[in-house]
Amino acid sequence: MANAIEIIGNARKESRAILTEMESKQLLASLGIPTTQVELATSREEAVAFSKTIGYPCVLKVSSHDISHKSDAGGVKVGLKNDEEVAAAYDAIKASCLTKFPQAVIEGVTVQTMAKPGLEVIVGMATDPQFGPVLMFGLGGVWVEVLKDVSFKIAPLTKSDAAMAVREIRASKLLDGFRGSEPVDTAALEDILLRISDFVTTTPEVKEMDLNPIFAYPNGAIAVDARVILGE
Amino acid sequence: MSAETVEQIRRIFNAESVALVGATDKEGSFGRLFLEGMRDAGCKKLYPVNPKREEVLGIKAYPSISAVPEKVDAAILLTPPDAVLGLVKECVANQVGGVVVFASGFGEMGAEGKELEREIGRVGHEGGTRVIGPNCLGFFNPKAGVVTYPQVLMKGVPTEAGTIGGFSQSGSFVDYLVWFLSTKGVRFSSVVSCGNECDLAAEDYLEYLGQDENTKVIVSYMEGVKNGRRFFEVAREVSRRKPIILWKGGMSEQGARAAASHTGALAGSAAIWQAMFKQTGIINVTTVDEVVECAVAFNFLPLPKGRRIALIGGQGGTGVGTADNCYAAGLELPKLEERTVARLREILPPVGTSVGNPTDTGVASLLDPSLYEKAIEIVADDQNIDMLLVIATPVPACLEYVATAAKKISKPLAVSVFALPESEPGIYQFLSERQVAAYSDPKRAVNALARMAEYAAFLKE
Repeated sequence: MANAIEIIGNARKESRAILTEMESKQLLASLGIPTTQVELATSREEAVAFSKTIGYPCVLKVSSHDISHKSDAGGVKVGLKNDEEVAAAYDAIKASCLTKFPQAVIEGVTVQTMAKPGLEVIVGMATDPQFGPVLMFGLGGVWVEVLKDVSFKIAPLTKSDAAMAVREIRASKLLDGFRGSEPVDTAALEDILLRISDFVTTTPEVKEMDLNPIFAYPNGAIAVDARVILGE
Repeated sequence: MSAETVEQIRRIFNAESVALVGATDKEGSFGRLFLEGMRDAGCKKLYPVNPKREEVLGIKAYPSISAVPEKVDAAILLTPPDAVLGLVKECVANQVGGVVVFASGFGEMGAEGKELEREIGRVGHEGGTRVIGPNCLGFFNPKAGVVTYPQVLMKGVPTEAGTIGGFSQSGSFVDYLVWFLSTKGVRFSSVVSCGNECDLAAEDYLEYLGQDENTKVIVSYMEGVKNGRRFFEVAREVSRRKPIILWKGGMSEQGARAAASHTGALAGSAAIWQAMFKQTGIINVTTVDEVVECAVAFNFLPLPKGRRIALIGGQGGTGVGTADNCYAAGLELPKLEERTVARLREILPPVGTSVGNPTDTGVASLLDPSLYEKAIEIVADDQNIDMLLVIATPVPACLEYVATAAKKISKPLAVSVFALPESEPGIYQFLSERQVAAYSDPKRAVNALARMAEYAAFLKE
């Protein structure tokens, strides 16, 4: 499996600042952070074949450097249950994306495991002009934009910083289990924060990261979508 | 961490030999004001530098830094900006410890000034003559008898040594800080105005004050930071040993930020400074009043062990309102131990008083002001209580007993006097002379105590 340095080097060679979802997830996996399995299919047949090995239900997402908001382009199909649905989804994604972005170069469609739903959180990283790499934790998914319920820590994080980052959000009660739901595995979330902190403090090439959403479970957590942005 | 920088600042701040470039005896000039000020502060070896004079104010003058017969620890440059670079080079050649550059007209004036300023900083830093400023008001170390600070000299602020150290990116804030805190009975170790920070910067002064044995509490005003990583690391380390009270200017966010990620869009400068305060344990304050109220509390009081407060007052109603302030600030008002209640009942008459938390000493304490002292000692003895707030009647006899009790107990005690500073200035002077942390509004006292409890909790993490 490719390591982070190779993945970043590759993007640099192609003068790309934004890693694809697949590259971003490979990078996370190389850091020991759980992510959904991703394979890049360049044909309908390949997509079906990957779906069989990954297992149903699965998710298909367009892979293109020119399309950053995949859902808006009709480039995401979830909950695909069999070969026929995957084949149809493959065609639909290509057609929709090419209609909405006629100029886009589409390198293929990724086939991914469909993670079981969990509490959606975000772990992110940004580069502050004065303090350098900073990490963010918060409620994830669409709630990031609406509620902005997030906390920041300057890297490198201590264990206690990671614990505080998770505790400090306003909705931290949600993490403890709410109305009968089980509490989520905050240790797994702290572990992700610490791994990202270690990575970004030794890799100044990385300018921003979003692991959004991460599905948090009573046992473990998994990054379902990810985006890595490189600096100048 | 930079041990070398700390030693270099130590040499400048404790300068035994000081050269004053631009010293003159002209009435009303800076050159004269500084010379008189340093002479009166007890500066041991003072060398006026002025090529046109044999002596200034009766002190032998020298034509240049190079002509001064011994090593100069600090050179104060009162010259116009275009002469500074040449002088710094001369100081480097003569192994001067550091220079203080008062002149403005550098980085704040545009690209050319910025370039000159950078060059001055580079030449000084690399040559081992560290530069304070430019565009700064110098520093002030009463213990070492070095006062390169014009406002302090002009206002006649008390110049005996104390335990508060300070650095400020606003020169006038240093001036006011020293002035205001002096009126509260606080005295200073070393205080410096950072200026444009062409060489030495906030993070360097913070590290120095962190290691300065005379400094117990650090107070600062900042707007930006030159080396944020270093500041963060230094603050994290220093904060474990002494409290840092910081007023950060420029915390308002200006609109949304353009970024390719959610994190980038949300990582505004204010959010990151707040994160920095939490991680380093810096006590972040937002008004000049809060700077003063916290500095007074941290300087005079021992740290509380926890968040549990007891209220003692001579006026029933205000105790209830203040209890609300305590809860809002995150403090707890626990029940007093049974033993404490019994002991209070023994000394307080049953009519017009109430025992509990709050305890109201009522009119009885006006008739017998010693009740304040007795009640404070009894409550301070309670295992459920970490700190005390006394809302006192503005009667000197009562306050004398409160001040006496505050000295006797080992827990922090703040006093709120039910009188405005405008109506009873004498009362506050009376208390500050006795080094009592006194406030007019009980809410301010509560805030200062709550910030101390927060810091104490940070130290336990």
